[in-house]
Amino acid sequence: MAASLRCFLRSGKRAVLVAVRRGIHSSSPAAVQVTVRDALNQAMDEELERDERVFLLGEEVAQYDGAYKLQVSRGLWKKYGDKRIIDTPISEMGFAGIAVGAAMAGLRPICEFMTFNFSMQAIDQVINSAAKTYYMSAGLQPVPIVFRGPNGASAGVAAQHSQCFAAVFLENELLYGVPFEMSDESQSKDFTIPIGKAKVERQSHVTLVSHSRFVGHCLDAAAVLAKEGVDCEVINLRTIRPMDVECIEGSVMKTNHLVTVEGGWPQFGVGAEICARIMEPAFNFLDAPVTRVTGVDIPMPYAKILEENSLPQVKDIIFSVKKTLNV
Amino acid sequence: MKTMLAIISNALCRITGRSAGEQTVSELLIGLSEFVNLTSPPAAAAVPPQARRLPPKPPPAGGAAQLVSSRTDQTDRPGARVVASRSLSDFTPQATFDIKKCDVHRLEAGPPVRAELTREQGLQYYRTMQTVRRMELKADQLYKQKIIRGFCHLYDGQEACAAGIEAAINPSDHLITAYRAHGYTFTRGVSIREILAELTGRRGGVAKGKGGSMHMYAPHFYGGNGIVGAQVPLGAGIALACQYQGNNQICVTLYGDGAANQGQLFETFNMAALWKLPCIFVCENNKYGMGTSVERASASTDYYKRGDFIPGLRVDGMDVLCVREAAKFAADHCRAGKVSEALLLLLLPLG
Repeated sequence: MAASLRCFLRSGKRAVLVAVRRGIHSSSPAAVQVTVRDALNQAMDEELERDERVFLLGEEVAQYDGAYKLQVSRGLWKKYGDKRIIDTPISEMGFAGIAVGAAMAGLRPICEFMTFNFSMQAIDQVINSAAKTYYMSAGLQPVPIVFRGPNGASAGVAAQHSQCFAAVFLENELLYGVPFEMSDESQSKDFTIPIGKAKVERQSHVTLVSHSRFVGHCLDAAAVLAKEGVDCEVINLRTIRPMDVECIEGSVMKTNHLVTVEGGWPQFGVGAEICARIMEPAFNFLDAPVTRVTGVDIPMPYAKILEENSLPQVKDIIFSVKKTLNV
Repeated sequence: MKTMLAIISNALCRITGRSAGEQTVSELLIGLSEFVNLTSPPAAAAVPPQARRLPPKPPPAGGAAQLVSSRTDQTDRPGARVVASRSLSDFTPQATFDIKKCDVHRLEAGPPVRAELTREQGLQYYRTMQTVRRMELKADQLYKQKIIRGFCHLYDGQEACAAGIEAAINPSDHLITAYRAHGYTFTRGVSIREILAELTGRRGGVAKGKGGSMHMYAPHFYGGNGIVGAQVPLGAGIALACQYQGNNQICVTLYGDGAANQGQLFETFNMAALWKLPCIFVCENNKYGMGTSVERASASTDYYKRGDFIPGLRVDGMDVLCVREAAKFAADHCRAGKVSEALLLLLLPLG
């Protein structure tokens, strides 16, 4: 994921919506354990160092060392100073617009929303000013900006598809403290992974497609199912837009069963899009209808027991897989 | 056909003073071609996207006279008399005008009350404003004929603002405005041809027909923005980039009286003042926000005061010199090294 963030900041490629969960998973012997928070911090540090035009803007990113307990930008203000790490007042629409304007004028801002719920205040700037401009100007006006921040369990924000540079990077707050292995290769400053390519985590009877935190749930479900003789191929989408449909198609053609897992709402969600997209190439390969495992179609409740039950759990994934396979 | 040619050649001979019957029409035309450019100029070489495009230069003084025969010995003809009597030395090179005093907010003094205008400047401002007027009237006509679709927000009547602001800033400064952008698109360097092609959705348009009326861009001109008020934070962001890069450039950010009530404007004013961004905010008040009059929309119509901690000027937006002096005053006020930004209110009384 550090690699993904680096990739956005450098590439002159398409609009993307990325839900990122982990760094590179590899069993290389010299691997190091890095938390998601540190990976993000390192990625931003490396990019700030590499390119003078990159700067970070957001609430409490500077002197507070990163908003309340999140601390993703810890240490960056001490290293780079006021000019490049900018604290903003609580004015999402205003500072998102300012970040977009700075991108139009040649800088490469990282605009942090304290959580993506607050980004809804700035949704106009993200979509109409940042995402659409490259297309509407027929390429005259690129907008190389990254919007990032923790995304709770609610649905992610979708940047409008266009040939522009804006990227929205959705992180999962609950994973910030979770460590993952990073291979030597992925620790290098120049390591990047391509946007729009999914990752296949394991191989076979049924395909599980997911993104962000729920990839972990899928892997846990797969481990349980493996004991019962059911092999699951787990695909980590990594990028939501552009989606790596080829990877999913290829997998469905092998396994003939598909289950999608996401934290968002079912209607118009990622799972719904996957169902529609693989219908054309892979309809005849499916032995059963695609099952979507999603969050419950309600605003997130407060009580812990309600909250837990309104999001996909490992048992829900296992149940769906068994239903799809008719076991 | 022969008769037609004879008629044409007679007419041409009469105009040029040559004796009829001596030449065929084609020989006559070839002979005359030294006076008249019959073919279009060659297509301009492809301009790299970052190159500056300037408004077209005015034709040299007395250009019309070149179409007349160069034989000035025939002084009995009326055209020759006109040519002979004009001479640049007969006109004064510049003049000084008294302009309206600006109301000020949080400023000790406003811009000067006298403005100097040279002959070249005068002609250039006039040409710019007249061109924008003609373009907008034509766009109006095309819109009514449904050749221009969707939205077409016209700038006729407000030309003095665009001309005055452009006169006060450098080409390397930045400008962003709302959807009533055709005038600024022209003053910032896009040709009329490209503007009209964009309005009519053609590939030759500045945004290849993909943007339309509200989304035209040029180097250091950021459109053209459809969402009311959204361009104001963008403008402050451009100013942030100027400050970040230390290039002594400023950004002029325009909005209308309707947008003056948007929350994001006040968020922007706060951050611009806090960080001392080199940004001039300009409110073009044409007394109507969409279809609603200012009295019915705003609790305070003193828009130049609504920046609160930002100094403001109330400017007569119908006078190009007044606008120029105010914009120059504001630009000097906020260039790198000086204090902070300024808010101009350009008043545009209708009718």
